[in-house]
Formats: sequence, C-alpha cells, structure tokens
Amino acid sequence: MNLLDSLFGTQYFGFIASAYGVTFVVLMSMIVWVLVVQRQRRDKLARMEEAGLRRKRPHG
Amino acid sequence: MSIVEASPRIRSLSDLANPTKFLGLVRVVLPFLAALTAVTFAIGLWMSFTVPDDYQQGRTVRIMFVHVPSVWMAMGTYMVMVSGALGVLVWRHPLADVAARTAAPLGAAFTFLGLATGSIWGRPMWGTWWVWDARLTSFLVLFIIYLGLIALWRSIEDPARAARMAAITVLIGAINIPIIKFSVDWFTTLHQPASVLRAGGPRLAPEFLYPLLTMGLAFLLLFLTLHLMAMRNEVWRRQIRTAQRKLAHPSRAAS
Repeated sequence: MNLLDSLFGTQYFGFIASAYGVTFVVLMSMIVWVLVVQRQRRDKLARMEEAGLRRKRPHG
Repeated sequence: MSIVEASPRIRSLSDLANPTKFLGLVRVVLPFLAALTAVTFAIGLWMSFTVPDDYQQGRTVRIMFVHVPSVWMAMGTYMVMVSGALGVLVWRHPLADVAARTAAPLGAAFTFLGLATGSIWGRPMWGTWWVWDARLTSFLVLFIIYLGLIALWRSIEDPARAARMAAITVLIGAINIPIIKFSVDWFTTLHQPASVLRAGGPRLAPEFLYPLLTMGLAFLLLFLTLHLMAMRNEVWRRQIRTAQRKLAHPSRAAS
C-alpha cells in the first residue's frame, strides 16, 4: 500500500489510477493491433511468395 | 531477401516516394525508434511519479502527464493527416494517402485518451465529468471527425477515389484544429487557458514542465513508431490486393 500511496495518494487514488490505467490499456491496444495486423500481412505475403504469386526480390 | 524486406538505399528524400525504398528505411529505423520510445517512457513515467504535489490540485496534477500529451498527439496526428491530404491532392505522392489513412486510427485513439483522461481529471477538480464548453466540445468534434474519416476510407472501394474524397474531408476538418487551440481564448470556458504552448513561453513550474515535455516526447516517439509500422502494414495490404487482382484478371495484368 505504501508504494501505491506514494504513486497515487489516498484522496484521489481512483482518479489517478484510472487515468493511467486507461492510458495503458489504449496505448497497449494500439501496439497489439499494429503487431497483429503486421503478422497477418507478413504471413499472407509469405504464403503468396511460396505459391509463386509474387517474384522474390534479388539480394541486395 | 523475401518480399517483405527491401534494400534501404535512400539517396535523397524523394526516394521515399518509392514504397520499396520506404519499406527498407522502416526496417532500419524501427528497432532504434522502438527502443528510444521505451526508454523515454520509462524516464517520463519515473519523472511523472516523483513530482511534488501541486499546491492547488494536489496529486491529481499527475494526470496532466498523460492527458496533455494525448491532446497534443490528437491534434498533431491530425496535422500529419493534413500534410498527407495535401500530398494526395497537390503532389500526388504515392505514400501520402498511406500516411493519412494509417494516422487516422492512431489519432482517434489519442483523442479518446484526451477525452477520457480529461474527464477523469475534471471530476475531482471541476466537480463534473463533462461540460459542453467550447474546448471540450470542439475536441469531441475532432473525435467524431476521426471516426468519420476512418469510415469514409473503408466505405469507398476505389482506392484513388477514396484517397481524394478523404483528402478533401481532412482539409475541411482542419478548420477544427485552430478552434480547439484558441477556444479557451475566444470563449469563456471551464477549461484553463494554454500553459505550455503559448506566446510568452510556458507558465508551468520547471518541476512540472520537464516531466510533461518528456512524456510528450514519449508519446511522439510512440506515434512515430506505430505510424511507420502501420504505414508498412498498409503498403503490404496494397501489394496483396494488387497480386490478388492480377491473379483474378491475368489478361489485364499482362496488358
């Protein structure tokens, strides 16, 4: 409780914790969303490459 | 090297108009940007939770360190979309629509955060969660504009037409940005006037200003990281779409 008290205090604990909590959730959701889409697209491109639908680029 | 990677041979800024070269640059820059974002957030959070209590607001002043950067990024992201819209309409830059389109969900998220944290901060300080004053209302309008633009981009099938329509809408919506900024000067509002980005310099005491600027930098770096990743995702989506169309209509692709 001492750590929580030093971070958020007791009088406005709910307000400060809620503000940081909602910030954490929204920012993490943005990060997860971008990473999930990235994985989906990367996998799809790799499958298309394997199927010969796209030509591999030369090294360099 | 697979098709999801590319060679980062960038000789001039105009080379970035080439999506392949852009992808190469993203591949090189992203790890450093992500690491810098994490470090800046760690420093900013440590600074935010070690500030003294404000003489009026007490410990709730700590909400400022997530509320104000969210608001800055909500408006800053819209300006990124404005530059993207100009790129579409004036210079027909290949990545301009990609930049504007992928910024919209990020801007909507920052605007939601600004509204949510502002409301949470307002309850103990103003005694109310919400009031229909000019600053709060114009900021809510920004959120609605973001949602409308996301819907617009998704609802038009033809990418070129969607890009033009969205670009025009973005430029019309830009009228709201100075209204948000100066609403506290033009109207009587419950919201306080600007205390950092104002003529005459910041009015905040240094012990609050430096954590705020550090968190602002962290939010900016996070936006840049996520925006580059989202832009790369969008370029890949368009590559997939093109390949699928070629597969569906091989004769058109050959011609």
